[in-house]
Amino acid sequence: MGKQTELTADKDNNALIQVQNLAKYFPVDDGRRRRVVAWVKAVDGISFAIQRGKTFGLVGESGCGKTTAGRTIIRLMEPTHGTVLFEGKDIHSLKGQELKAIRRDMQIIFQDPYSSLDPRVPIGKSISEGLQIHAIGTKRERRELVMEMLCKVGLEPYHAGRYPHQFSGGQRQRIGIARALALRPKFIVADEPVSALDVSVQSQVLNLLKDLQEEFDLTYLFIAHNMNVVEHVSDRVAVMYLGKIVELASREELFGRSLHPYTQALMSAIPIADPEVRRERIILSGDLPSALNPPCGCRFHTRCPIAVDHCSVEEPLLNEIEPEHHVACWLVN
Amino acid sequence: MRKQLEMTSNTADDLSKEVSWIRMVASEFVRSKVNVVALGLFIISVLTALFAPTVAPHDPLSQDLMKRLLPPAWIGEGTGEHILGTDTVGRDVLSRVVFGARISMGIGLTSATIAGIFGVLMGLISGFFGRGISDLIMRITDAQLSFPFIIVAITIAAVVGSGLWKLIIILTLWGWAPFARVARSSVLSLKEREFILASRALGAHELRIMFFHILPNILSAVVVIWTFTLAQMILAESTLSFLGFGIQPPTPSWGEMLTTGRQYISSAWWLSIFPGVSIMLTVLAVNLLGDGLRDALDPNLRV
Repeated sequence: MGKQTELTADKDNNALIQVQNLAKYFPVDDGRRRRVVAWVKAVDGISFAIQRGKTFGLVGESGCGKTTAGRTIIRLMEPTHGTVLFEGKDIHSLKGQELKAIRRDMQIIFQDPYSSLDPRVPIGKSISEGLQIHAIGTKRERRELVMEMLCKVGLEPYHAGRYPHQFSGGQRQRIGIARALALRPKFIVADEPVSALDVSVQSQVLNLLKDLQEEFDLTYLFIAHNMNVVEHVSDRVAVMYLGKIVELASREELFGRSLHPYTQALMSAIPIADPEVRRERIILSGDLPSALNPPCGCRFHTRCPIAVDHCSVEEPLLNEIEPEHHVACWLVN
Repeated sequence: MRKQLEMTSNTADDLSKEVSWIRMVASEFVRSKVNVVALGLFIISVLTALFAPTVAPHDPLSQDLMKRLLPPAWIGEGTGEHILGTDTVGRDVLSRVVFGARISMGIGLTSATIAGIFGVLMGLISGFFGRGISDLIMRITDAQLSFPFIIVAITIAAVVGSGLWKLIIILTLWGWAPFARVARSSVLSLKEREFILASRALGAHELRIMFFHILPNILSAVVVIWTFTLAQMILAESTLSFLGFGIQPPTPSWGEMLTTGRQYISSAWWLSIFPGVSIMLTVLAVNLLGDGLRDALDPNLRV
């Protein structure tokens, strides 16, 4: 554990976000007497830091806790324990006006473009909602900013009065991006922003996110399950499995030389656009175990192709195997 | 909403393409002729109630014992002066039916609306805040819905007496529970939607989320329940008046007219048939209206 906290503490001060040992457990009650009978450990002690202006990719399969992590980091949920420092401030200790103020700096883009916009609110009003909440600008200034944001994300000013159902999925995602950016935040959690979109639209939205990152000097936490997308956008990548980070490295390192067997399995699933290339696929057997009752020892040992006896006994910590390359596996040294 | 429309018209180059939500619902609604007829009947009832003094040919209270129990105009001794005949003390039946609409619609609309506002507020509170308050409110609605209405209403009326406002209060107390339940369940399902989270991430206060995002999204469901409640209220008012616990004579109300007409049903059927038909048509119209609204609003809920 000592090594884990070191991991974030020794990062230079350029980190915008520092996540330290963050955990989020959901209570399970017995349905009748409302006693908590178990905890779902959706996120179970993760630590990482995100550098200013960089994109941090968080990958993992469905149900591994990526979304919960993202939402807890911008305080849409309260963590069970652990801290999130934003510019050195513990965001989970903030209250009232301070909390409201920091919300301006942290925004989120959602996965489902159909559920992320209020069907009864014209999109112009959705985009200006943050400005209204924080009482920024006059009515006219707000309107101008909405127009500006619409243009920035590739829509037309006259779209402002329209309702969400009049737009396609890709357009809605652009509206969601405009809403997140209207407050000029520093940090954005992009929670699978393209996984609900057609492939052709995906790249447009990804490029838009990249352009906006340059223009507004944004820092992204990019959550995804698609390795190609993560490789395309990220500077650093963490791989999550059942609420834990199993590997954390720069993009080049991770995609060039992945060390954890789970990461390797994910890598081998990336399709290669060349029929001549033959590659050994690592096929994981079974499903993701329940976070309600995770396997003891290394959580991955039930599906790991190279597991040894020790893996089911003791949980491996995330160790820095090489400079800036952290792996949680007994067999990687 | 109006501000929004201004904004739209200022910026829209192609206003013709602009489809407002209300217009969409309206065009869906008028596609069925039944809906249009129901709406027409409903509007007629409301207008009749509003302009009763102008519409009614006579004073509903003025008696003329020389002209008692005249049949409707098209039968035997009936005269054009009293198109629907006269009652046992020579009062004009048409005028009494017209003024009866005032009581029925007035009480129905008022109590359905108050019950709606109160019930929705209770539902919002119960859906939004912790388990304690939520449980308390839901158990009250459970209790409420398990009481037979007539017994309760008669008990209350017997204790506090009858009268216009007392009647409205009784009906409101009876009718708020369905609103609360529907509002609560909608809140629970909407609360986890991502646009609510987005609003929270922007720093929105809970009250803002409640009234700016949740309320508009449950409004269509509420309007539908409101129409069905209105129909029930009109019937309930008639029932109570019929039983003598509602509006007291000589104030004309449909239920009260039924009661007095009942004794003469074999000799002077027009005394009870016309108020009876009025109740039936109004309740039918309001129910059909509710059906039509539900169908017209539903597809949009899925957007």
